[in-house]
Amino acid sequence: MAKVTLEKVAHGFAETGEVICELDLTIEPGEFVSFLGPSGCGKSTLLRIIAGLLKPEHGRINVDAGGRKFFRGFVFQEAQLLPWRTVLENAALPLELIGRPRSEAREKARMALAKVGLGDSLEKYPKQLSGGMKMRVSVARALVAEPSLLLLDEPFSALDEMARELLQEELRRLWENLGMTVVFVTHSVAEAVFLSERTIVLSSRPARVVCDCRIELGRRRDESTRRGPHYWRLVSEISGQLRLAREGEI
Amino acid sequence: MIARIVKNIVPPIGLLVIALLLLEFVLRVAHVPEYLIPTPTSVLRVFGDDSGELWSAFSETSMAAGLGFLLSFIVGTLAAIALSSWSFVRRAILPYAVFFQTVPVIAIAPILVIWFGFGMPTVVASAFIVSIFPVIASTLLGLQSTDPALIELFRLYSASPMQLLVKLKLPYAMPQVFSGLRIAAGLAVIGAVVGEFIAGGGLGAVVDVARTQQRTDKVFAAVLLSAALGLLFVSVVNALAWWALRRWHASAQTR
Repeated sequence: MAKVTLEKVAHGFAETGEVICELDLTIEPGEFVSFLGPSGCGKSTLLRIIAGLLKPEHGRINVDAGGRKFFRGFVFQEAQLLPWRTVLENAALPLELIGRPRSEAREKARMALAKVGLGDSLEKYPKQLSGGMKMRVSVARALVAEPSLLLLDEPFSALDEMARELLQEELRRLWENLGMTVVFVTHSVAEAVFLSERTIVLSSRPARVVCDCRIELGRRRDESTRRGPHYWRLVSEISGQLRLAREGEI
Repeated sequence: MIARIVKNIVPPIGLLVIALLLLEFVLRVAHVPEYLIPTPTSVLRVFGDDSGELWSAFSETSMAAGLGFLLSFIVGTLAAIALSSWSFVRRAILPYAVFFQTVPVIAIAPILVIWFGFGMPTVVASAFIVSIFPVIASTLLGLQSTDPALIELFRLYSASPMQLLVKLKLPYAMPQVFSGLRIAAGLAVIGAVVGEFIAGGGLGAVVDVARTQQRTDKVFAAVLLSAALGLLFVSVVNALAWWALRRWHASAQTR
C-alpha cells in the first residue's frame, strides 16, 4: 500500500494558466480518497501528477510503498481498450509490458478478470462488449500488476445509472479485499461519498483544497448504505461545500 | 448468401452486357472504321488470337507492378516509422517529399532509363516511385493519430519505444496503412504501364507497338487487361485488409 505526499505542488499549462496552486496533501497507505470538484478544475491534472504521468512545475510529489518497488494502476474516463486484443489479452497487457512471461501474464489476467466478474468473456473483442463490461476490463487491466496505488479518472461517468452503481459497489469491495491506496476523481458528490473514506473538495481553477472531509459510513458498504440517513446528510453537506467552491468562481 | 451475390452481381453485369451489345450494334450500323473504335467482338477476338502474347505481357507487367508495390510497402512503411519517430527528420524531409510527389512520373521515366537501362528495373522503379507516397502519407498519419490516453497507459508501465511501436502504434495505424496500400496498389499498375511505354516490355509495350501498327483492337485489349490488373491488385489489398481487420475494425464489418 502506497503513501502519497504532495508538498507545495503547483502546475499550469500555457493555454489555461495556473491549474493547481500550492497544494499540500498526504494520502495515507490504504486510504480511499476522492477528489471532487467542478469540471475543468484541475483534478485530472492532479491525478496525472500523482500517477507520475506529469511532472509538476513546482513542488515535490512522493509516492512510497514502504521502500518496495510498486506499480500504479490507472483507469481512464473511457475504457481505452486495445480493439485488436481480446478481453484476456487486454487485461494481460501491463504484465507483458513489464516483461513477465506470457503464461504468467495470462494466468494473472484471468484472475483479475474473474475478480470483476468477467471470467467467461475472455475471448471476446471489445466491440462485442457493453460500456459497463468494457469498464470492467479496464479495471481488471489496472489491477493485474497488483498495484499499490490505484488511480481512477471519472471512470464511470459515461455509464448508465444502474451499471454505475453496480461498478461502484464492486470497486468498493475490491478495495476492501485487496488492500491498496485508491485515488478517485469524480464530479459526482454521491459517488465520492459512497466510495471513499475521505473526500477532498477542490475549488475551480486554480485548484485549492476547499474541504477535506472524513466519510464515516463504515468499512463494509453496499446498496443499503445509499439509503441510510447518514449517507444523505453527508451528500448534502458536501454538495453545499462544492456549491461554495463554485460560487468563488462566479 | 447466394441470393445476395445474385442481387449484387446481376445489375452491373447486366448493364455491361447491354452496353456492349448496343455499342456493337451502333458501330456496325454507322460503319465506324475499326482503327477509330474497334467493335467489342473484334477486341474479344484479339484475346483469343493473341492470347499468348497478351498473357506473357500481362504477367510481365504484374510482376513489375507487384515488385514496385512490394518495395514501396517496405520502404514506405520504414520511412513512415522513421518520420514519425524523429520530428526533426520529419520537419527536414517532409517538404521535399511533397515536392517530389508532384513531379509527374512520365517526366522522370526517361531519366530512369538512363539510370537503369531498358526493361524491368526501370519499370519497377517507375511503379515504386508513384506508389510510395500514399504509403508514407497514410502510414505516417496513422502512426501519429494514436490516442494519447493509450500512450499514457504504456508509459505507466515504462514501455520501451519498441513496445510502443509494435504493440500500440503499428496496430493502431493498420486501418490507415491499408487505405494507403489500396491507393498504392492501383498506382503501382499505372506506374508500371507508364514505365513500359518508355522502357519497353509488358502491356505498356503492347499498347505502344499496336498503336504504331494501327491495331486499335489490340490497344483496347491491352488497355482492358491493364485495368483488370489494377482491379486485381486493389482486390488483393482489400482481401488482406479484411482479413487483418476482420475481428476488430468497423471497416471490415460492413461486408
